[in-house]
Amino acid sequence: MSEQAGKSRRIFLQSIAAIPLAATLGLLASPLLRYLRPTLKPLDVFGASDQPLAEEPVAFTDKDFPEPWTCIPFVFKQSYLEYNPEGKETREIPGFIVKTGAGDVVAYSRICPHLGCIFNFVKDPAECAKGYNFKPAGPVFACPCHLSVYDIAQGGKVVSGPAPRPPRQFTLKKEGEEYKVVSLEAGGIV
Amino acid sequence: MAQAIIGSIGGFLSEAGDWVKTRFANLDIFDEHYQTEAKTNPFYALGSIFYLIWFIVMATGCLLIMWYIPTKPAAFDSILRIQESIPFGGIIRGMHKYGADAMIIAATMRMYRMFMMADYKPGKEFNVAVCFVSLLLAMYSGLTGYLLIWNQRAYWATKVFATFPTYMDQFPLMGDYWQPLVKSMHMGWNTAEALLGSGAAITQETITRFFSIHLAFSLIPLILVELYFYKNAQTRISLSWLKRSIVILMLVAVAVILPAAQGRRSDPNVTPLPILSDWYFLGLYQMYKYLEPVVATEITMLIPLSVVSLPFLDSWITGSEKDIWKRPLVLTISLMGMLCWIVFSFLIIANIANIHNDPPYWRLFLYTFIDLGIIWQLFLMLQNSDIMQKIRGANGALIMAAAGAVQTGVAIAYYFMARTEMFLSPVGQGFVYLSTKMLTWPFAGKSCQEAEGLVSQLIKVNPEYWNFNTLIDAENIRKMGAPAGEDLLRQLAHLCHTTTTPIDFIFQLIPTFTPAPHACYSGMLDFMVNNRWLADFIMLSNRLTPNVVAPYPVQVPDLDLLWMFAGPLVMLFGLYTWFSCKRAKIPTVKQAQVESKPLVPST
Repeated sequence: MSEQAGKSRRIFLQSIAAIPLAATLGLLASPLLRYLRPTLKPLDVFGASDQPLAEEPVAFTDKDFPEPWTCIPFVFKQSYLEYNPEGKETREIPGFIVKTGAGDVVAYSRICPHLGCIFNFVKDPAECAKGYNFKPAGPVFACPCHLSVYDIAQGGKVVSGPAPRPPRQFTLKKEGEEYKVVSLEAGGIV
Repeated sequence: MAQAIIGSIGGFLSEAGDWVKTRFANLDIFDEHYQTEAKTNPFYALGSIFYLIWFIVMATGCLLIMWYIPTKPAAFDSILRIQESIPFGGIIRGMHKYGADAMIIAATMRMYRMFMMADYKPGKEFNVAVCFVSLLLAMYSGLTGYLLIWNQRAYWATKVFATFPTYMDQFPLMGDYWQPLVKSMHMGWNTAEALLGSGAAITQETITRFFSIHLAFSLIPLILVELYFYKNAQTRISLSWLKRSIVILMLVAVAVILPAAQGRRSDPNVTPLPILSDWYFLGLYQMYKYLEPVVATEITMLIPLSVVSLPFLDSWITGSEKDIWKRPLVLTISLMGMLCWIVFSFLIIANIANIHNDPPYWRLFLYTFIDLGIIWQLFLMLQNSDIMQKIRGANGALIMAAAGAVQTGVAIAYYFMARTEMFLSPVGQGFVYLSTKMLTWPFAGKSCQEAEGLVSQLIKVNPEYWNFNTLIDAENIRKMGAPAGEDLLRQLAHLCHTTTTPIDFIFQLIPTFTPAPHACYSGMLDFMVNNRWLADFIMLSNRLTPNVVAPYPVQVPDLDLLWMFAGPLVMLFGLYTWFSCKRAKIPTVKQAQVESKPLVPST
């Protein structure tokens, strides 16, 4: 056997032997990921995220909406996981509660689902055409950062701009006269 | 036989090992191999300047740490105190901040020098990657550094930076088919949460984590580079004390004349307008206005990859050529990158973006600049009078033809995407369905058409009917009671399970990833219906036919037609150059005597 063939075989065997070794070392290193995010369960490095919890609900009544396209800004409190003595940090999520032209009452988080800016309520289509280079059919939500426009009448559908989805919606509970904002759709960074 | 195979694999491995070893032996971290050039050409001193400023930034950072308080209520005020009441605090902080900026400028200029002077030839391609890593580390230290000020810009820039990895969970890989698998890994969310420290919010934990990363990413590489220089006994900074003093004085002067900005205290409820980050990320921010976030995230990941692979591409195409005028492809690509970055940065500062009208201009600019480089390069190859070089260049021409082919493919996909406003994956899935239908026409053509009819009827019954893998499941239909269009659903299910084609076995091999309602597909049609590929085809054909769905088909912008036609032209020119390079023959002595012009390739 030539020396070259022997050398080739040695390298081949070394490479083959390296695979299980690398896998073992990788497995040994995997707890480091839990060091970065302690709420991960062991052997579940791709586990789900830590979702925030809703604090007390915010209430509105029918009298708050005298006419269609009344839009009221409000603040909804959510507590996020943190490793401080309380174990959480309460953050205020800005929201809009709107009575649409059809008479439905809907509530959306004002945090743009694109990259997290706070969007505005633009009632006048002409103003939207001027500031966000898109002329909508009616009142819209429009984000000043990357110019996404959401049509409220179509359930928050993205009608212009780079946003991938409608804004996140609050769950509303109707109790007698009252509309109670109880929780927020998951996702988004504040 | 087995020994021969092992031998050949081993041979390949040792060859690859040698290839890597050569490049590691040629590593050059901060221009320590160009010390003679550095004496006359300041561009070769950029590595040394980078390293010198690194030390300055570390030293000023050590001073700042004594006064900085990394907590949410105190961070902003402690910076204010450093700036205003601590003696020399403003200058120290200015030198720290402008030093970091200077490192980014130095690393970028150094990379451009590498491309212009072809410093990565021969066998030094890794040096570009090393320089790029130094640039990325500087940028990342900058990113983690400016959150520490805890002002408006810091807060909102970090929010954008932490949100865009979450789009990794939505990368379209075969559309709906892989989506559950991609999503279930939570890669994007885990990345964002590991960056931010805890839950999905920018909190105290984020400051602590960014502070530690800010330190670690500056200190650990510095120690490693020091050890490397010590081991190889190299001079680290090839600058005389006079030149070093000039660099330091420049930093001091800037820090005195233009005190580092403080901005306004961060407020999570008010978005500043325009939303900006530190200057080196501004170009990317403008790109985020123009593009779908998933595509923007992909392109952000593609830029480093293309920078690192460009030297290899250049070495394949132009061999050992170092003159920049004979490597126009590298010239135009690097110019294109720089121009895009500068113009995008200015546009976002001026807050100009018409997201409906601008993108065709950018696409045209991007493609024509690269095409210009390719055509120029191919022209130089054709003009080359050195026959040996011409023959060696043939593979390079083929690579450029392949680039033209890729552009043609993009143009074809773009045509359908622009006409129908559908994303790449549904268009592709529609076409795969169409070609499978054509392939199995004699066996399943009729049932395919029937299924198409049923699906389009069902979408009319309920626009929410798209999740066919659960909808047409008999068990599910029973659970729902009497769903709208129940008999249509049952007919569709029957069609899916009874249609047989010769290629069914391929689809039976594909796992469904969702054991319920079924563990495997019964055949071709079942797969196409369950994964919505058939519905994609219906949507595609409806939108392509005039007067079926309201605004579709949309007109493709005229500007786009230019680059769309440039792709095939580049490909054809590349192929022509390849053929003529291949056919160029080394003239033998006899031929040279017979022919009057021996250097012209014989036909």
